[in-house]
Amino acid sequence: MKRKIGLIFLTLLMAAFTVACSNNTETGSKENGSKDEEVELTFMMWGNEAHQEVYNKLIAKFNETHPNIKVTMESVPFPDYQQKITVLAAGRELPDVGWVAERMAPQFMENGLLANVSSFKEDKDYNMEDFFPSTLDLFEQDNKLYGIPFSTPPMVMFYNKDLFVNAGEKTPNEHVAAGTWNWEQFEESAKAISSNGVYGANFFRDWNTWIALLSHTWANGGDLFNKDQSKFTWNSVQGVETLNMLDRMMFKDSSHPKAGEQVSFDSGKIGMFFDVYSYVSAARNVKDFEWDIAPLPEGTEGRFPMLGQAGYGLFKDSKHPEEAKELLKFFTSQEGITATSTFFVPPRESVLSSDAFVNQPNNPPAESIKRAVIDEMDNARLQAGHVEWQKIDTAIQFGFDELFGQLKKPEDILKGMEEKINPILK
Amino acid sequence: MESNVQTAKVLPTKGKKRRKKFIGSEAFYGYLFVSPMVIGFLLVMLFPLVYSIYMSLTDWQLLGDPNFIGSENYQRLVNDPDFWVVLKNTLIFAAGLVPINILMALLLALLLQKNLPGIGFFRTAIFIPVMTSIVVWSIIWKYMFGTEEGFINQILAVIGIDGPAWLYDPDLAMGAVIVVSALKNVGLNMVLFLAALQQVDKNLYEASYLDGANRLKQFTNVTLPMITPTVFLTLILTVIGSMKVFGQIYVMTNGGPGNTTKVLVYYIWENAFKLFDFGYASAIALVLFVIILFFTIIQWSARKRWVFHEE
Repeated sequence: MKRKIGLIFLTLLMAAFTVACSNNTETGSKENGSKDEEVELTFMMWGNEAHQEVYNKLIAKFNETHPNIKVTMESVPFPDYQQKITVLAAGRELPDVGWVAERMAPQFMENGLLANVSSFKEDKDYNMEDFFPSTLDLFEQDNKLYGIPFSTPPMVMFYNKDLFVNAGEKTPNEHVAAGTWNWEQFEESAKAISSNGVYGANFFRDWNTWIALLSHTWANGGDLFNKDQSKFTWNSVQGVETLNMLDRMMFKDSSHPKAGEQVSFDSGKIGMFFDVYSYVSAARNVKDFEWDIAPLPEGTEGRFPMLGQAGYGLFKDSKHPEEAKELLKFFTSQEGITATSTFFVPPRESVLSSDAFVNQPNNPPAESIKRAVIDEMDNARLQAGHVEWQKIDTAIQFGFDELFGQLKKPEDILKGMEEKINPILK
Repeated sequence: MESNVQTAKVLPTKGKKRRKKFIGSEAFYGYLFVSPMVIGFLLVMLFPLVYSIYMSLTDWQLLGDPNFIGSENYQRLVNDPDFWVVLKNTLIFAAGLVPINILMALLLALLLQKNLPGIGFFRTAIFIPVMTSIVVWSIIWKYMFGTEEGFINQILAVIGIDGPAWLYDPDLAMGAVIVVSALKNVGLNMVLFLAALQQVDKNLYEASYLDGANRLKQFTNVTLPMITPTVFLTLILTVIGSMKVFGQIYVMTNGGPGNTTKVLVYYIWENAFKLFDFGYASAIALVLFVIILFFTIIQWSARKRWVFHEE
């Protein structure tokens, strides 16, 4: 009797193990499927619901010609995205296709996470020449292409027109027309339209887009790094002035929200909000007030909006590389780029010059888009990423925390950043 | 007992026959019954523990292979100013949480030990946070502490006080996290104290009353000594728990403002999963392990001196 119980026990244990193990082996067997076999692809992005809706339609269109490819879309919040991809790469569970932002590209390419898509250049129908060559720089390495851009938005200023009108102030676009739209005027306007619970301006989305402030430093001739990215140069007269401006606006003029206050542009309590043009997807839903977009203010050296850039990457080790390539090709074809240009500034010349990009329901006026987006493309600067961007970002974020908590003076904060970041750059 | 001695003697001579009989023997079933625990311990406790010691001696960056670098991570640790700040924060957190938690739990237990009608409601109410997820609890408190529309500041506004930015003020953030953590777990310690209080022999109170002891004397000379084993248990559990705090920090402050609420486990997480420096993170984790071991040994060896009727 005892022996029987023991044997049953062992058999159960063995059975449990075999079940657990066999599950894993089965999934790999689909690898060399033929063209007609059902194939599943994962597409990862950080888009909001409106973005996903556009992609759902686009994927449905794709399935008309590729009925055997099932595409699953997964959205991961932007602040966690790079971390998520790195962890998935370590676990060999990368998606097949995914969005890649400008600051992630160096790390992904350095670690060989992205597959070579240079073959797209040979496809006549695809027409690679249509892309602005500068938009491809980010993904090029040793004459090979590791991604295709879909969005190259310059940073613009979204402003609440009602707040300006009610305060009797000139709007940013009126200042632009008068040639008086500089950073000093910006600070004054922000102060003038601020009142109880209403703030003149906000640089931050989720309190971590400090990069928006670089436009101020650039406009005065400073920069974050030196040319070959071997030194942190924000600890300069221009950098200190940038942090001083934020400090004044937060604590002296009360024209910028303080850390911990959750006030968004669409609540109507922010006068001027800095974000890349893609934010228009959210702004279009604003019903309670009138808004518009304007170019960023000018500094002594000119106007330099930050250029955001995002593209698609084909992740290595995809089980279905051919199908994934098909999907990527479709997403970045003229048809695909036209569909996503409802939100994203298209990298294809044919789409950017088309009416479809400008004439969207609830869009800002066409002349505003021309002035703030299309005409600014030449001034826009790409803040190149770095292989160690996460560490750099953490160090800078830490410095801003010190500013928000009024723990240190801007000079000391930038010095602290310099001490942390210079060793990383070496 | 006797049969054991016999088998030990028999073993060398009849080794082969003995082995055959092993399956089905009492020892076999003994091992079989403890095997889930032992296998589980080896696989999910001991192996990761030993492996993390190895990891702490490498420069593993998650992507790519680890290289053995000896004690470099530990040298870096000693020279890392952030590490010392983080260590200090952890100790401040523990020094704040442990007394608040234990004293509050004891007071509540004394208050709620009487079997009055409806007392169960209050006991349950105080215990409910223990069953709540720490993330849910922290998110709710994060909103309560909100600067503009937070519950606490709205209450303060009613009586004309302009509430501070609780979680963004370097002087207040740690205090806020400590209070939230204490409220979360005070229920567990309270229940332990309640159980201990109800086991104190009623005759002792009667005897001390006849000897002329007042309420306070009864508490210090009868109640407290009788529940010291429970005080000891809760103390060890709370100290260990406070060293391992993470969830509420992650949700409420992200270690900020600056690094005023960054504690050891948060720093480990940040290095491992944000900066992907797994080797360095393992080294910090090992230091945390040693610190907790140190505190536990100290309390364990001190218990003989103050814990009454230890069995």
